[in-house]
Amino acid sequence: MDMQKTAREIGLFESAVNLSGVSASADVVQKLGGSMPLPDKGIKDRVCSIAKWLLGFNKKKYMFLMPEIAIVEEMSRQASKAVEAIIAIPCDLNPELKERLKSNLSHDIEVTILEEPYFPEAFFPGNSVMVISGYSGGGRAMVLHDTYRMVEHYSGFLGKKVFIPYVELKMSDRYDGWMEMGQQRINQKWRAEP
Amino acid sequence: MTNVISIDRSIIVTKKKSGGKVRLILEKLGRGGSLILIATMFVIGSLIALFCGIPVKNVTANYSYDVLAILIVMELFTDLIAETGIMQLLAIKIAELSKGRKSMCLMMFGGMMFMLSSCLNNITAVMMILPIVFVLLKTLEVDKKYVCVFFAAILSLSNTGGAASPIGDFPAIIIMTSGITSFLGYLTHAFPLFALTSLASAMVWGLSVKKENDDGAVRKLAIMNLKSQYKNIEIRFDVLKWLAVVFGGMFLAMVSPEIIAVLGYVIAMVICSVKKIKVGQTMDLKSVLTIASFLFFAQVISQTGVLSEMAALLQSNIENPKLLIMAIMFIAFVVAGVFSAGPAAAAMMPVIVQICNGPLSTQADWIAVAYAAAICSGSSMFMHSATAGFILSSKVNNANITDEGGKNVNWGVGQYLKYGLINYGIQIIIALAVMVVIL
Repeated sequence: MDMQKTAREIGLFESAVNLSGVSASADVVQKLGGSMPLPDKGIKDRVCSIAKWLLGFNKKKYMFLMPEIAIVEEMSRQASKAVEAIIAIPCDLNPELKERLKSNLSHDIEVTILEEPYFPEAFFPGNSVMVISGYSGGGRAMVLHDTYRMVEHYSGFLGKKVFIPYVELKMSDRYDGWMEMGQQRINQKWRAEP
Repeated sequence: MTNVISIDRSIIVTKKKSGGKVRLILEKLGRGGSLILIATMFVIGSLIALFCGIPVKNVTANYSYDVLAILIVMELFTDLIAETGIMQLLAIKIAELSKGRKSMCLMMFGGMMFMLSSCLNNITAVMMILPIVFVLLKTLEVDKKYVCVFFAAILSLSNTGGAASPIGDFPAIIIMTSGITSFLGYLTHAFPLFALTSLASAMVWGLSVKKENDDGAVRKLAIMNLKSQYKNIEIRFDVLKWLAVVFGGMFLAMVSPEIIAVLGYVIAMVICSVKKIKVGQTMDLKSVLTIASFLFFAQVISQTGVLSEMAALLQSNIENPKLLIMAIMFIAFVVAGVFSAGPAAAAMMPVIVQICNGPLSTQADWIAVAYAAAICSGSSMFMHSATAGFILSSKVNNANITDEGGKNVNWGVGQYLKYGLINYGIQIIIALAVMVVIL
């Protein structure tokens, strides 16, 4: 099972929520432990607090560089005013997968799909935030290849760029398929309260 | 050093190009193959008519336009049902119920395939469940053997499902519209037989799958991921209930099936338009044209009187009705294996009609079912002869299903052959046994 591929379709947080239910299994650790850090049991609470944190920026548009359907759904539950989620999808995403993703968007919030390399309309620093997801290892922001490329592609955006890790590792462990993102690309990181 | 590398690269590029050319030609031939076949059937049919002095009026007067009308309408109707999202819901429920166990997945998806194929065109039924099956198989970590067994079972059950009802597949439509049996007559005789055959097939293939030797966590994760991938897909029950009413009405209506099919589709189309569901107007006419060409050819041959003579010859030489039916089944299975199900049904139909108009008229319903069973088993033997064979193969090969070693799993003519023979064996043994007992 390729969890990184799955994450490209449902996002890291939804994948992590699914993984958290079975992460105690030796089979799971052996087969999937090398492709991404396994989340802890508190991932659902983390999704809630991240959604709250993002809404706290009080912006209208949130552009996700991964299809974080879990976060978007939680935002739709918590949002007191209308917000729009923009999900940027990589240009090389399988067309079938793209179609499935398009029909799997939340109905409770305005969600639009943006295909790389296009740019979103009316996406200004004053009304928008760019959300980058990955995991943090020893304080480093680690993202998947696609996310890394899209961060560079959309680097012209001068507004707030935030990083939301689905798991925070104390050590800077590296996993296959992940890349370290330059700290200058991010304005703010979400951190779990001690 | 740089030169050496560039030479090596040029060789690789040349090799790739030549390999690519061959593949391109084969692909073009494959794509054009069915069109060549259609043209050949029309040309040969026309030439025979010309040389035998058969007026075109006679051919067109007896031509089965109703078969084509039903085929087109059923494909369009299926598109409407697919738009409601019900197939995704069913497939996810099956995946959930099976708990990711490979043998259970095979048997349950096989069962779903049988039910779908009995109501819808085989190709469309296969296309409807494949996207979810692929997602599931990719997450379940399957090996090459399992892929071969799984799709062999799916192909076999799509054939048996297609033969189980009068609207399931081309042969069944051709048999029903020939007049030797009625809609309900065919359904009540064929469905139990093919349901039994499907159950046996699903059991044989399901039990041949090795039991998993794990704690089930990875399988549980696979199901959870699958559910996440479809969690927000909207199921249009408001439209589906009306489509079900229309579809049920089409089954129960007693007047000519092609008129009912067209009327049913028109009503369904209006419902979908009102409920703002996309009404697809596109369909693959290749399968319709293939059947059209074989029906034309069969009609010309029928007008020559050869088929009537052949039927008379069979009847005069084989007095025992059981043996006669078995002889017909044998011929039908060979023709279906060589030419595929739809064309075989069209080509042999005049012989069956002739026999049913003779002393065996009281057993017409069972002869129709025996004929369908023989065609079904013959078409399950080879990939090319099954209605959905090549489409299923190309979809599986393009799905990039990988085994544990990361190698892409291919499923084609060669890989299916062994399983096809077993499919054929299961189907023909059950059909013959039932016919021996009943007739």
